[in-house]
Amino acid sequence: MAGFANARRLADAQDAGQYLYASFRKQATQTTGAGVWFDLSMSPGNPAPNYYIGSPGVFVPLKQSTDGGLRHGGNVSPARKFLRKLMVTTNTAAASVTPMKLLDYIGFYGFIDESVLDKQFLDNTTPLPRHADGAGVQLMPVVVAGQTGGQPFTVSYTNQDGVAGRTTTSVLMSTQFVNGTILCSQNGGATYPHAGPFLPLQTGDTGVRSVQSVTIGGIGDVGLFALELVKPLASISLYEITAASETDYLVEAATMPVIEDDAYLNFIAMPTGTLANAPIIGLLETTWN
Amino acid sequence: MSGFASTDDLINQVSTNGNHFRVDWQKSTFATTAHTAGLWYSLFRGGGNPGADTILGTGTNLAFQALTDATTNATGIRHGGDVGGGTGYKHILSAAAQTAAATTAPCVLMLVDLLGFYPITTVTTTGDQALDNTVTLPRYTDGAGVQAFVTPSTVMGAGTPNIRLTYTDSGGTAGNLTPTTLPIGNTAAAVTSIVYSGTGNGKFGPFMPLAAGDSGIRSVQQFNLSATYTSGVLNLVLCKPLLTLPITTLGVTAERDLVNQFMSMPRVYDGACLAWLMLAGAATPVASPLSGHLEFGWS
Repeated sequence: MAGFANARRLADAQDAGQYLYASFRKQATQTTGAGVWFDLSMSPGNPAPNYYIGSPGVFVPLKQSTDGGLRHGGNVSPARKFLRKLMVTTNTAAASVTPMKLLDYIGFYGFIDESVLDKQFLDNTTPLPRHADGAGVQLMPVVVAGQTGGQPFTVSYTNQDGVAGRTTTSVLMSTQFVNGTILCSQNGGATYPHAGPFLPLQTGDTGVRSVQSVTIGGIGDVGLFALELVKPLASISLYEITAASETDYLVEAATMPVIEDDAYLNFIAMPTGTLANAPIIGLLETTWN
Repeated sequence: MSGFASTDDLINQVSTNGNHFRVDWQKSTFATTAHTAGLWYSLFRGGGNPGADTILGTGTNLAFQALTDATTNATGIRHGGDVGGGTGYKHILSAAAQTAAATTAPCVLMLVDLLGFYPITTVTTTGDQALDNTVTLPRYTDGAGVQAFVTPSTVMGAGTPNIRLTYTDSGGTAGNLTPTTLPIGNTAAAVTSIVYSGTGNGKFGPFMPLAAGDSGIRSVQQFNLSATYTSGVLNLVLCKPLLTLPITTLGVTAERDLVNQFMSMPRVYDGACLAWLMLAGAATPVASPLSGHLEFGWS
């Protein structure tokens, strides 16, 4: 059976070469906002940036084989692959206190126009390539053309149980506008209670299977965003410039997140300073059985 | 026997059987309540993901209402649903939280399972008020480890009443009283604050003190204010504390491994309504965001 029956199997897998060390370097060029979540997939480095290219409103799957992302090794089915360890470090002080999340970027609906006040219907001809039932899948709107901010929007979706017509809580667009900003993230203020990286789903929902439409409210705005479907896998933080931060997900979190075959992996980050020109260098280690 | 039989079994359940759930949460302090250092607050009514509750303060005065993860308008943090109709064992394996909001750190977060509440609109009534326990605890039914706190859903008026409970403890003994010195409510206590928390005499937090020898509350029979609170709506909330998570520094993630670091693996029952309490370590502006994640595993 796929997975690890016990600790001995983990050690055996590493001895048998079922283990990968993969390095990465992401280096944002934008001046990011303190306390505002930012999508590092759009930043230069290794792997190459993701630009959310696609037809407006059409779901585009993201895969390692076609789009890159952080390397995690090839397909292992019928075995199962896990994230074992992460290490991150930076030598730029302004970026040295930064929580990060590793996500499986499942796919996105591109170029949603913030100036269109009519309901914008989305195309789901292409299904989700992974996590197809939507369990744990979250909605992450990413700025691809800057906005002014302050205007509300909602998303209508089908939840993890297949129930359609679900609606996110109305949130306001951030006033932080550089490309890669997560549109719903803002560091506080009474009008921005929903400051996290993911859109608040309707009460009771834990995931998203597909998105049917987006509705921009207020007077609209001038920007564009990509609506990304992601599965959060793991968290890690940059703490200081003098030492790397490491997490062993078996020993320190008692869970090793599953990495699906052909997953497109990348990070989001919430700097307390700025990520501008800060190289974030690290290692991602996976094992499978 | 339910639960993890060994570390090997934990690895097997999480990796082979997929018995794992991760939730990424984000909550802000209440939109109109700035936090005072040294006071405890509930983040249940703060906006975010999940959104703010709108259930506290509703329902029949003095009557207990149970809370679950499926209760309308109760917005607990998701934990992966039921695992085996009450016979499965779900545990919290790790937790993390951080904030980048100015002056929000340091603070201490406490995760609780909200079991239910008694809304109290008769806040000008002094002396014992009988509570209605037609509805009973939905989880921890014997009251083991169950604690109580008092928080407004409408801002309180002028008054600094002593607060006393008459309750049945987790051993089934009725008529127990909150011991003296009684907690003293804060005047004009803000929505989401725990009204008797603070740093002076008669201040406790976050929970009402129990009689000597008691470790839990099965039900509360009487609620007593020694003086009028003038106006407002209180809620006497029963909960089970699960873990604490101190945030030390702005931007620095607080992390807890509850298997290897702080071996406790708090159990989360089917239907649990999870929420954070927060001890403010600094004057914290309204709507200050905190975020983090919880990871669960089950057998």
